[in-house]
Amino acid sequence: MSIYEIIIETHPELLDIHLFDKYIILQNDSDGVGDYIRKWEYSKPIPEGLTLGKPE
Amino acid sequence: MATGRIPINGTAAIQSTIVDAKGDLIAGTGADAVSRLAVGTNGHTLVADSSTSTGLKWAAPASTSFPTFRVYRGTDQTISSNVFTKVQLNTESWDTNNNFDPTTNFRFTPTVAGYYQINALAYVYNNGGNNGNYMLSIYKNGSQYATWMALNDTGYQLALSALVYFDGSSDYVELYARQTGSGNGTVSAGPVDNYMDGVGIRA
Repeated sequence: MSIYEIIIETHPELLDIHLFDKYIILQNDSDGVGDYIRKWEYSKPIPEGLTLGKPE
Repeated sequence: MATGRIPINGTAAIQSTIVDAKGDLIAGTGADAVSRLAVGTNGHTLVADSSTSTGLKWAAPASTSFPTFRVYRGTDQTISSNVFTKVQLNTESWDTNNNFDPTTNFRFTPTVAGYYQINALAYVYNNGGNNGNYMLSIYKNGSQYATWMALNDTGYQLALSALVYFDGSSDYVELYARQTGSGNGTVSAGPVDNYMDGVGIRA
């Protein structure tokens, strides 16, 4: 399951793409690290198991 | 051509023999003193230089040779849904100053400071033919700098350009793409459907 799918499963109201754009940015720097949460400015918490920022 | 003296202040005079060739100038060297400044090289301009006897010298016009580049993605690149993904621009059409990294970071880091025109284009589509939104972003130093967005279709040809200032040492730009349709998407291979190019315009 992708990060996006996990987020939508936890916060289905974010399926509205405008809400997602407003609060959250997912990013992949094509460096082998994979997808990560670049920005999280949503009032509800990041889903369990996910973290903000690029993994080391 | 008249020869003789060149009147100065109605009393003193400078002998015209002081000059020897077309383009020679008479320049002051101090109080009540003059000297010949020989004509300069074609294309050179006269600039002040206190280290010379006349305080002037001929010099080549100052010029800056700005880097220019054009790069593209050599093969299709898969991107996840809803994720801004760096486009791996791994093939160079040209890179005059070797300022583009096409192997590791896929970024342009010019070593000459100034304002640059940066252009980018990418054809992005959803692999499953699902509708979504499409965004193409120029990132400067890791953050969105300019973005083009197209809404609610199965794919789009996205293009944008921006003027970007670079400090000539650490500033860089990269290209990111995103599609929001369900499932993976694709950034098509270049050089026609996908590229980024740029050139320095002024310091």
